[in-house]
Amino acid sequence: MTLIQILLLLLILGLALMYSRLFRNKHAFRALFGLVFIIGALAVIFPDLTTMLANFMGVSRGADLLFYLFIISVVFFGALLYQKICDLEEQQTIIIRQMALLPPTDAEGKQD
Amino acid sequence: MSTNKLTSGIIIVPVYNEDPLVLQRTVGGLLGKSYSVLVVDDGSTPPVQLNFKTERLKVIRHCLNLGQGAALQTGITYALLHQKSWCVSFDADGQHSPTEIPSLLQPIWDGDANITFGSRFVRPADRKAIPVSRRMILLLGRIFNGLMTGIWMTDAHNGFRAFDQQAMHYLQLKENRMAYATELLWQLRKAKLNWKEVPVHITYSPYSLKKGQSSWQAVRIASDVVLRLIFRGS
Repeated sequence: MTLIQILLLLLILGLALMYSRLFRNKHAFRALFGLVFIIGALAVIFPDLTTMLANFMGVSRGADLLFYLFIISVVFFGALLYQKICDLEEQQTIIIRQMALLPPTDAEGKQD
Repeated sequence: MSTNKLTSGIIIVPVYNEDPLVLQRTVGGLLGKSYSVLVVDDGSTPPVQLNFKTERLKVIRHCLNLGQGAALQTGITYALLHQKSWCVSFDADGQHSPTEIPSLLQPIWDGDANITFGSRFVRPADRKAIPVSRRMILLLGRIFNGLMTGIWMTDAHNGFRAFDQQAMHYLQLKENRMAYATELLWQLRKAKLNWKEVPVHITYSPYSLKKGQSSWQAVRIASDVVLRLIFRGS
């Protein structure tokens, strides 16, 4: 095993532990990321696997296939994050609006 | 114009970091015409302070800056909570004239429209008063709004608008920033509200031009609208 393979495997292991803690109550996400990390680890240990899969799908190099998958996942997770940010912004707006519309109170909390 | 009609509504003035003297003059002009005024301070630093002692002026404040769309929606919600029969959105930078409010409200009082939009492009004299660069941006904004909403107006992004109670009830603006102007047209169409354009004159000063929308902001508005369409489906 080469040095880069060891480094990548350690990195995948670290990320897997981090994600496992992050999604400890969301089993579907845990399973999905678990699968991604297993595939990642297999691709690191057996690099020819990705080339075989790439050839099967009509792509010449395994690295190219990984690059395409990477772009798709970045766009997917970007959209997911954007959606989440929009939801949070809407919730924040509701709270700030309700605070603005509250009747003014004096120091003892009585309404003016 | 009867006093009853006048006092049954409210003028909403969204404010963010406005020059205190300009704001004082704008609000003073409205109070001088006997209108009730709601200043929505959209998280200005320092907070808005006005030197008027009258029950007809209310100032409410967003503790964080959200944007003009959010400030207008807060004003509309306030107007609904206080059972106002109409509201008018009025820019704080002194571009709008209080003397034009009755003509903006007339179609609403006559039952001809639920929303009226001030337009700088109906009368040739008003059109000529717009700086050429601003006219170009507005033309693009008009085309963009038309393509996005199917509603073709003569003006785009004019902050001078009037709403009746039905319109206030239906509108739920979620676009916090300037893209709310397009969202408003989507909602207006969805709720099948009647609208009308009313000629208004906009007074451009070096101050208001500096505060107004730049070309870069126009790009940002367009991208906000497109993102809403993709992720929220209008």
